[in-house]
Amino acid sequence: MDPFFIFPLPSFALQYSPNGDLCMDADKAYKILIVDDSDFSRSNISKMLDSKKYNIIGEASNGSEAINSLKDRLPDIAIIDIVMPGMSGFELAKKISENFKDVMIIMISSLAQENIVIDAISSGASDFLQKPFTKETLVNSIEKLISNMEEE
Amino acid sequence: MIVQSCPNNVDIYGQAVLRKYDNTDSPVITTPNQSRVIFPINGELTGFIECTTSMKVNFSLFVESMNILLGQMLTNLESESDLLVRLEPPILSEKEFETDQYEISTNLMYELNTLAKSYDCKILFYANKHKAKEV
Repeated sequence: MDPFFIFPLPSFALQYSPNGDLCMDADKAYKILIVDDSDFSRSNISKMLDSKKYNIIGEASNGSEAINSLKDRLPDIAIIDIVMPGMSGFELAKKISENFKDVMIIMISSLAQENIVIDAISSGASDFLQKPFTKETLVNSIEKLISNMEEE
Repeated sequence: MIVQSCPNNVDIYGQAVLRKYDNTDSPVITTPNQSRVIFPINGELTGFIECTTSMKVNFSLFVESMNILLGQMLTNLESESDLLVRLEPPILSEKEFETDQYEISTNLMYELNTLAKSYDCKILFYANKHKAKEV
């Protein structure tokens, strides 16, 4: 008779998604809020972060929607466009820095004059990316913030 | 100075590419079914930039493509001419804007190549130059 062995997998076995990424529980993934008045831009960013490592907890098309999302569920990172109707990205970043201190901010804009970057950082952003950016650039920026958060 | 600041090619997140036409090969845009968006500008140049296409296009892609193009153009303008100009959020109104009052007027043509189709885009730039107190 052929030998017959059973190896039960432990419940904490690593799991991989079809694209080979290491899966994490949704509650352990880093929570991200995307704020941009462009549907196209929000959708692109969301696709770039389609990994079990990140949990897109919401998308907002303006500052007011973003504040409401923040009150419902606190993200680890907010990705915020600067030029938006109503409340600008700078104003939103200042409100977040004052009221939701644990949220890290990445500001994005098609404009990248030195003055804009300085205003972004002084509004509370930890990083600035000029549009259009690649998936690699965005993920690197997020990973840098995560690494800083974990060190703290 | 504005024309020189315009990038020749801009990749839009791998989903479209904008290519600047030379003056010699610029197509003539016909108006029916056009898509249109206006970006007000302020700072050391104030006015607006009107972007149109000759055909109906994925509007969100079109507006963001124009936003990215104009953002790069104004960023280049600052590094090349030291003029600090900011974009305002886009206006989607059908309203016609007065253009007589502007001392600077320039038009440019781009081709927006999406995965499905190509669109001719006309960009009209109207502005007055002044030293802004606060940008």
